[in-house]
Amino acid sequence: MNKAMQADRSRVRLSGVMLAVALLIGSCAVYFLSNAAEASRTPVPGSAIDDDLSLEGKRLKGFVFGAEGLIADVYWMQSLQYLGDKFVNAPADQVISLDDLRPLNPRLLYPYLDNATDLDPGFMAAYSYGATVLPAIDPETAIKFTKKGIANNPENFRLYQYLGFIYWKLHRYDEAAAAYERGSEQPDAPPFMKAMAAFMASNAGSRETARAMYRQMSDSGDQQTRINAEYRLNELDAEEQMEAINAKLANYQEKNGSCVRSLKDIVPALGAVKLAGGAQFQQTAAGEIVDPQLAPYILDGSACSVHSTSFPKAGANK
Amino acid sequence: MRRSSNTNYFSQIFVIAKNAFREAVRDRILYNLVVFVLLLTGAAIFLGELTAGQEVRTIINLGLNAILLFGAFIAIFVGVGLVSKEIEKRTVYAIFAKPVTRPQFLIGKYLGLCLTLLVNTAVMGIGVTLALLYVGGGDRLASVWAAVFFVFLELCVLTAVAITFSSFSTPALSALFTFFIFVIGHFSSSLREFAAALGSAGAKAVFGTIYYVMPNLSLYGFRTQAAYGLLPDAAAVAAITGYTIVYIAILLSIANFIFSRRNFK
Amino acid sequence: MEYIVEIQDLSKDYETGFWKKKNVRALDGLSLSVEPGQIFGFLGGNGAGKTTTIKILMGLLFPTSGTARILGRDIADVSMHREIGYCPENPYFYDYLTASELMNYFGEIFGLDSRRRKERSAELLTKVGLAEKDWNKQLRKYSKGMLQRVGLAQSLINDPKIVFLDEPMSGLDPMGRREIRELIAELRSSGTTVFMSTHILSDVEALCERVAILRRGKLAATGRLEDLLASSEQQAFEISVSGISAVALSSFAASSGAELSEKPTGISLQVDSESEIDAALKAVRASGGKLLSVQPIRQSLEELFVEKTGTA
Repeated sequence: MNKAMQADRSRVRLSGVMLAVALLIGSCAVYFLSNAAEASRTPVPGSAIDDDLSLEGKRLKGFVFGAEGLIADVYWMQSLQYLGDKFVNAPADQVISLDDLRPLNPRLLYPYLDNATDLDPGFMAAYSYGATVLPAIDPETAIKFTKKGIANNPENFRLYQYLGFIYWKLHRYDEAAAAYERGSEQPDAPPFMKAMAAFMASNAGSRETARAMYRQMSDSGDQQTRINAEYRLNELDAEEQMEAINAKLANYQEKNGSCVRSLKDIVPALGAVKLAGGAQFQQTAAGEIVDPQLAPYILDGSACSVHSTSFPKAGANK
Repeated sequence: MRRSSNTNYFSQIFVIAKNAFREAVRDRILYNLVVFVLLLTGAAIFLGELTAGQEVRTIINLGLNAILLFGAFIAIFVGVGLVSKEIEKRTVYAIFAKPVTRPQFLIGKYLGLCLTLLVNTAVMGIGVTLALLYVGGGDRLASVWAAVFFVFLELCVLTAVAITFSSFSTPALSALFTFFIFVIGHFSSSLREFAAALGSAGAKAVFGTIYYVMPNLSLYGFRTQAAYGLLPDAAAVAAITGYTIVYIAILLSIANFIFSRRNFK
Repeated sequence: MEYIVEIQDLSKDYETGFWKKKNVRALDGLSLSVEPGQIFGFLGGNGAGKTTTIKILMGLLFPTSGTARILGRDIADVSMHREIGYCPENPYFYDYLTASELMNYFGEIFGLDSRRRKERSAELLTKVGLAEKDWNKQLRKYSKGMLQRVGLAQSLINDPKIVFLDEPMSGLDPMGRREIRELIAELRSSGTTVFMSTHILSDVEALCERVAILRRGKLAATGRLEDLLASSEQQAFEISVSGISAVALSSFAASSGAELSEKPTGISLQVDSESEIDAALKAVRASGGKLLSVQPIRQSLEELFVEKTGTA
């Protein structure tokens, strides 16, 4: 009897050992096979990102068990993801400006946003994103999109602000003024709408107008819009600073007949300059003059002017 | 609990598998096919309206994902009941007094459900094929069937997970656990990449372990590729099939180990 | 092989409680042997450990300690199951199958060919008294008694050398019980050993040669049924009389110490030994009564059962 019992026990122990051995061998096999399978996976073609949208949001309306808002969110997230992927996957040497995104060919951005706002006509984040990004792809689409927003939400002054902004960037100041004017008539419109309308009529091309424009955008809107607006404000500051520096460089050259060897030579002169809002030039501990993103300005000796690495476009367009 | 005579060790497994398949049929599991066909028919008709002339792509995406979801539903909910229902209803009493070992029973029941899923998946695959032919997507059929095969492999893994959990847990908990594995199994690959991109060494180790221990269900994702008419190469099919077989063998060994020690009160 | 079932020192603890702390001993050092060719009665009250024992023998439960052998082979040896049959208590089968499908399924498991399966199924379903019209009904539509019959039929599909029946009469009506009783007797005469647990004592009296009585997991008594009954005290006799009133015999009863009682058919006089019968008969004749019968009174199985199990 005891022998039988022992035999039984040892059999249990043996199958436990067998399981452990099987698990060990199996785990190794799983490890290698998993890696092999992962390595031999068929990738989805890269062009897949630009495939035409297969579902049109407005047609889905009423067939999604009341989840229109959710699907609008999906379209909206895809629009962000889509442009983000475009940036990430752009060739390293490609210079991309926020003013012109056409090199990225983001042809689906508008369809995504259009679908999102078809499903949720009051989707303000989508409108504000579209108003800031679409002008860099196709201004007419941007205007059409923002007008769609106004048609759906006629009492929302922000949309008039966006429309005015788009017109202003296109230097279509009359239309911009009209947009601000109409916006200022909306119930919740703050006083600056009225002020902007006046700016557009009198002083549309000035830096102050631009500053006011971006400052308002940075106070409002979603995070992406705010980041863009802040970048624009810094860019405007850099532009102003570079103008001042270049003026002093010209002064120096006139007086001494040659350009400065180092920007440090004009630091005392720059100290006297009053920038917008009473700001001063910023310097590093080593005495280098830096732009709003704290990168030193680069002196170009031959042209006797400076440029900024943080804002390559600043000074170039105006 | 050693095997009975070797001569019909496998024929007994086959008999049990056949009966498990019959059980699924009699329990009207395959009725889900009717729902699937209605869904696909409706889609084929309405998609022309809903999509911008991309019925082929949409039918493939919709069809293949529906095959997976319907199958996963069966694998989870039938899978966790395969053995526990028999214990609860005391139908195992008569079985184990016959010359049937517990591993034979467990494997037989498992294969029976796999057979059910095979039939279910194949019929759904035929449904997608017909819908594709209707909208003129006949050139994608090879890709679609490759994806259907991968879906079937995934369902076999999921069934093994369900039966393993149910060998020591209640059906409700087993279903929940299996569902979690289904979700995590699809994420584990991305989670590992995520951890590798920004995680600490600890996070990398944790997610690396999860990645290898959990079934890597994202390997079976060929549904998007199928919509582009791509085909997996032979090495991929071989590696994934091998992975599936080994993974299932491990799970069933664990399940057998536990199940062979159970007392049926 | 001297014994067909040998149980040695078998114990089983059930763990109870959420943290699996408490052990309940369901079976306590049971040793038992069954000779081939018998009908062996396995008796005991509810919870005495009958079903636990049978489940251990069938490999459904694992013993905490002890061993058991059937047909000379350890119970862990599943191949031995080719030669045994088992009908669980209140049997339950796949309710999506019909009776003949179930028989066919189990036949397949034993590797019987399809012709043999068909024959055997028809033969056994008839034997257990299932009407042919019910053979192709799904088991979910079966009554408890019909399931019991199917359970018996399936336990015999492989022509077993020994069949274990756990409460084979439960769920049956009196007619059914009689039929099954006949079937069990027939099995024995065809050489099959029957190991049946029951608490229906009349079945035991009618069928079993040997019995074991279980009490709280322990063996209370085992042996030939006759021996167990005979071993109890001295023999009493009952004398049945009609045609006179009890009063007529009261003086005899008072002097001899016999017990007198009135029954629907007349009067019953119970004497404690054979030697008192003569005197009693004389008294009956003297009072003009008509003698109906003189019967020995054995200790009834019920009394034995109560005595051994301590339960009513």
